[in-house]
Amino acid sequence: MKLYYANLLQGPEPMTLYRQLALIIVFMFVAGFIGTVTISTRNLQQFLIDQLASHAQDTATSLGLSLSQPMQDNDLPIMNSMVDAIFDRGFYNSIVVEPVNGGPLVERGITMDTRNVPGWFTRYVRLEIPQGDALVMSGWKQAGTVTVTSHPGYAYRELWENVTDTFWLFFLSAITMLILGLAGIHLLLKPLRRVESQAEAICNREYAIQEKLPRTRELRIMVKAMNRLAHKVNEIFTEQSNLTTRLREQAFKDPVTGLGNRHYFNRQLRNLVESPEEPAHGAVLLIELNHVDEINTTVGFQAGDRLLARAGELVTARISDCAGCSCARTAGAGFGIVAVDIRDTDVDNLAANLAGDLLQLQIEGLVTHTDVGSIGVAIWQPGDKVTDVLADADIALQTARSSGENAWYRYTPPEGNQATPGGAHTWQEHLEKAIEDGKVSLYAQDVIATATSNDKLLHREVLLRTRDTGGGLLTAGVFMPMAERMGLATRLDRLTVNRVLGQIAKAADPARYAINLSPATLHDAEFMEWLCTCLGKQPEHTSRLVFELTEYGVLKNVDKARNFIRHLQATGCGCGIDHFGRGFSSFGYLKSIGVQYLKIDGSYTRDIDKDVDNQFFVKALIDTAHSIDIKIIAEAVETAAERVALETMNVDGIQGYLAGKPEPFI
Amino acid sequence: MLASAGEFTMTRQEIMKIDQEHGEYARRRVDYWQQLIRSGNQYSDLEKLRLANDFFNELEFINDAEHWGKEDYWATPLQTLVSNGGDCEDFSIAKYFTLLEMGISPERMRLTYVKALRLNQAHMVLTYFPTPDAEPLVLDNLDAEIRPANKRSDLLPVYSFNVSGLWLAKSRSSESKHVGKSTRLSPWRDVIARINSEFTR
Repeated sequence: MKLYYANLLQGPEPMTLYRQLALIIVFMFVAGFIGTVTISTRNLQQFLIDQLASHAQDTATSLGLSLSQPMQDNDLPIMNSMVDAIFDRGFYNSIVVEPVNGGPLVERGITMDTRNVPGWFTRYVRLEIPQGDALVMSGWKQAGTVTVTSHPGYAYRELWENVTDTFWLFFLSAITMLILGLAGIHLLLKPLRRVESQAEAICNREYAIQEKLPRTRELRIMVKAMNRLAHKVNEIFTEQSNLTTRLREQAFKDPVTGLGNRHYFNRQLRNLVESPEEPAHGAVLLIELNHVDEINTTVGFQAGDRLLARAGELVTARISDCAGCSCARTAGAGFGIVAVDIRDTDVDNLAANLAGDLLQLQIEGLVTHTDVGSIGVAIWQPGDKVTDVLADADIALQTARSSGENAWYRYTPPEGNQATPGGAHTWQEHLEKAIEDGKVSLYAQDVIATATSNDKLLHREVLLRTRDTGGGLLTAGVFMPMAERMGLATRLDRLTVNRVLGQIAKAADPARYAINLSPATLHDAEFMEWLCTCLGKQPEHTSRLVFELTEYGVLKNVDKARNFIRHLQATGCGCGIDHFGRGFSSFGYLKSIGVQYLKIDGSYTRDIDKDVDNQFFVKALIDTAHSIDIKIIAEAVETAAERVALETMNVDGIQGYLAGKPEPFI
Repeated sequence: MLASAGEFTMTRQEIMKIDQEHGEYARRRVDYWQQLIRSGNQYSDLEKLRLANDFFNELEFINDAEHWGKEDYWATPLQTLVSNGGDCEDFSIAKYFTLLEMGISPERMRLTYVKALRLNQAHMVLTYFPTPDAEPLVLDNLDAEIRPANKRSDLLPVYSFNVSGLWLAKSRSSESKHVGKSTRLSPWRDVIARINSEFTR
C-alpha cells in the first residue's frame, strides 16, 4: 500500500537522459549556427561593402576619364551612350553625371533587384551601398562630377547563400551528431536500463539477480548492491518456503502415494460443501481397495505400498483433466475424490473409468484377486452437511461392494427432488438474460486489517449474486462455474469492472474494492487490452482497485499471469491471489509474480485455533510471504477464537462472517 | 584622422629624434615645415600656395628608382623632407598635405595627371581652383612659378582627381583591417596608410 502513496507523490514523469542529451545537442547546434551566421555574415558584409565601394570608385574614375573629351565638346549623345554602355552591364544601381553648376546631365537608375533573397533578409541585414565619384574634366577645368552606385543585389545573394549554406551544413551536422550521439548514448546506457528494470522489479516484489555486471563503476556498485539484496531475499524466501512445504507435507500429505491425506480431504470437502462462496454442488467418490491387508501380511508391506502408489497414480491421471477435481488417500486402502461443479453424467463416466482402472491394477499383477475394489459416489447440493455427504458416499460404497466385482454405485437421495435449477440449456439462457438485463447484483464483503484497534478496512471484496428462476438469491459459487464452462465468465467480469468503476467514480467513500477475475479472463488478451484502456481513462481511481486472481488461474500459465499483473500494476491497480494453497503447488512462483497479498484458502483457516498442524503450516506460510513483502489475508474467519489464533501468527487481514457479511453494494 | 588640421604637428622630442637619425639639415627642414604648418592661418590662400610651393621646390628631384629602389613609390611628406628629395608625385603630395594643414579646403585642390610636352613624360602637378569652374593655378616642380593653367602650354592635362573622395573611402575602409589583404593597395592608400602610421600617437 505504501507503493500507491509513493506513486501519487511522484508528480510528473522526470525527463529521461536521452531527451536531455538530445536537447543539449540541438541547443548547441542552434547556438553554434546563430553565432557562426552572425559572425560570417558580418565579415562577409564588410568585405562585400568594400568590394562594392572599390567597384563603384573604379567605374566612376574610368567613366570620368572617358567622359572628359565629350564634355569638353559638349557632345551629350556620346555621353549618354558612354553611360549606357557601362550602366547596361547591370552591375550598377545608379549613374549620375552632373555639371559643376546645375541639374544632372545624364541620369540612370533602377530599383534594386534582390531575386532569390527573402524580403525579411534584406530588411534585417542592411547593406550600406557605397558611392564612388570622380571628376569630369574639360582640359584644365572641372566640368562636372560622375557618381556611381553599385548594385547590391549580387552582394545580397552572396550573403543569403552564405546563410543558407551555413544552415544546411549545421543542419546536416546536427542530424549526424544526433544519430551518432544517441547511438552512443544507447550503447552507454544499456547497462543503466538493465539496472532500472531490476530496480523496478524490486519495487514490484520481484527479486531477480542480474548476472551481467555493467562496466561502469558506479553502475556496477549499484547492481552489486541490488543483487546482494535480491540474493538475500531469495535465500530467506527459499528457506521459508522449504520449511512451509515440509510442514504442509507433514500435515496434509500421504507419504506412500504422494496424495493428500484424510486430514486434507476432510478440510477440502468441508470448505467446498459448507462455504457460501464456493461451488454449491459436486460429487464425492470413495474408492476402496480389497485385499490390501492380506497383501501386507502375506507378500509384504512393500508390495502393499506398490499397489497403493500405483492406484494413486491411476486416479491422479484419471482426474488430471478435470479442473475442479482433487483426490486424497482417505484410509489405509481407501481413496477419496472431490469433484466440484460436475454434471451427473460426467460423474458416472468418471466412476466407470475408475472402475476400469481397478482392473488395470490386476492386469499389472499388483493384486492377484479379481475383485480389486469398489467405488461409491454421492452428490452434494447447496445446504448439505459434510457428514451427510460422506455418509451417503459410504452407503453407495457398501451397495457397490455387494453388487459385484469392481463395481460402482451412485447414491440417490430417497426423496429424489433435485434442487439444481434445471439443465445446462435453461441455465445458459437464464444467465445470459441475467447479464443482459443487468440482473446480476454486486455485494461487497469487508476485509479488515488485524493488529489494529479499530478494525481498519483494507478493502471490500466484490461478490456476484443473481436470482434463480424462482427468485432465490444465488451466490457466485453456484453460477460462476457454470458461467465459466459456457464461456460467459469474461462477460461477467467485464460487467463487474464496469459497474465498480462507475460506482467508484460516483461515490465519495474512499474504500478500495477487490474484483475477482476468473481464470478464463486472465488468459484473454482482448480483455486485458480493454481493461487497461478503461483504467487509463480513470487514472485517479486506479489506486482504489485491486484484482484477485485464483491460484488455479495463475498456475495454468504463470508467465501470462505475471504479464497480466505487470500491466495492471502499471495502471496503478493492485493484485492479489485468492484461495491460495488449495493445491499442492510449490511457492517458487510467488517470488516473481508481483502480487501484494495472498488470501489463504478457507480450508486452512477453519477451526485453526484447534488444529496445531494447521497452525504450524499457516505460520510458516505467513513468514514465507512476509519474507518477500507479500501480505496474508485469511478467508472464511468465523469465530473470535480463529481470529485470535491467526493474529498471533501475524496474519495481516481477515475476511469472513466475523469481519462482515457480504452486503448489497450496487 | 588626417582630414582635420593639426595632424602633422610634431613634438620637440620627435624632431630631436630626426636630428639624431638623419642629421641637422633634415631636422632644420622639418622645423621649417612645422613652422609653416603652424603659421598657416596668417596667410591668404595665394600666399600659402607660394610658401608651400617654394619650400618643396627647394628639394632635389630624384626619380623613384634611384631614390627608393622601386619603379613607382609615393613617399610621405616627412619622408620627402627627411630624404631631401623626391619626384613629381612626392612633391605634389607633400604640397597637398601641407596646404591642407595650412587651412586650404580640399575642395579647391586637385592632383592632376599631365603630360610634360617638352620632356615627353608623364608628370603630376597640384592644381588649385579658386572656384569650381575657374581656370586652376598650377603648382609644379618643373616650373617654380605658380601660373594659371592656360599659361602652361608646356603641359597637357590628362585627368584630375579629387583626393578628398579617396580620402573618405580610405577612412571608411581603414575600419576593417583585412581590406589590404584582399585588394591590392593603390599608391594612394599606401601612402595614406604610411602617413597614418607616422603620425599615430
